[in-house]
Amino acid sequence: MSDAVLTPDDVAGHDVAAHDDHGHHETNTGISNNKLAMWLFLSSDCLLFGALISTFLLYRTNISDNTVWEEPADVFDIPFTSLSSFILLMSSLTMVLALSAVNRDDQRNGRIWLLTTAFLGMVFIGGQVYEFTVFREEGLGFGTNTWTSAFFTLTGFHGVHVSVGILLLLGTVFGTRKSGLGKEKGETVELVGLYWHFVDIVWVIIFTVIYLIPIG
Amino acid sequence: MAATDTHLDHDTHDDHHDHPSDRTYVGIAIILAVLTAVEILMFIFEDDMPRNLVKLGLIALMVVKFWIVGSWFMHLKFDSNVLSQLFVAGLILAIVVYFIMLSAFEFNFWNDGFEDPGLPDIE
Repeated sequence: MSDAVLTPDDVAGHDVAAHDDHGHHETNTGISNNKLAMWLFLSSDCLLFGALISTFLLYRTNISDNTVWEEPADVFDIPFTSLSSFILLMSSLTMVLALSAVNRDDQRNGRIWLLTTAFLGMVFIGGQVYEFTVFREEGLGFGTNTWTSAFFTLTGFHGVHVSVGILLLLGTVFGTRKSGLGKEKGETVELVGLYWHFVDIVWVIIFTVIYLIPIG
Repeated sequence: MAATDTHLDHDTHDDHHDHPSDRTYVGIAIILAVLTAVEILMFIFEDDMPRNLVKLGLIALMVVKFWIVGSWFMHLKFDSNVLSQLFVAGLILAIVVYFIMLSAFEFNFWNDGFEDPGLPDIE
């Protein structure tokens, strides 16, 4: 039991040992507070998207007589959306390559991969804007029926998340121009990466459930 | 002191894992791309297959892709179990929300025994 009592020397030793190579304090859980907070946020964000996906699944048919508003195959341009999905999936690869480069203290490649990730995100958003425009021209607006309302709300919220991710990526690249994007910024890039992968993982679900799975 | 050191070693273990190499990440991305291609093929040939098989296959592929991104790209495979538990808790809650809403819409579960009083007559 006496080992469990901390002496001033132990505390001094603890202070030295309690900083890892990313420069942040160790905690009781062994996980940095920032990282734990990000995971808590992502966990709560699951609920937001869970509710939006649930709403879409329940509203995609006419509630009064349960007829199908639209079949996915009749409405969506699947080859186009598949390409968008592939681009977002590959942006997850460039994100982990960015983190890997930053952890190696390779600042140049870290910045290149972060900018590539942001660029791929912008291409995805451009595709979403194009898709929304085509829908609008075909007479499928936000208030056309419950299906379109739920669809635009769900994919719109996801688009907002991607846009926020792009801002975080650009903020990381340009906000570290003076201080550098060295190994000590590893946790910052990791947190941005977690957010970005979450956005990707949500799209994996949306693409399958909303675009591919047939109704009925 | 020794006990304290051991305690710290244990605590810091979770954040000090070896990340996979870049080559491993590229390999994982290729697997994800192949799985996406299979999904699209299933969609294209859905009329030639039983509809339930298509649905089941697409959901299975979605779960596998989700697991791969979560485990490898989000490092849940290498990080503390606490993070996995947090994330899974959020997912389970989201699924519970869906079933509560489903019960309200599909099974009319919440209206059993409820009589709509209607609007009051206004003379």
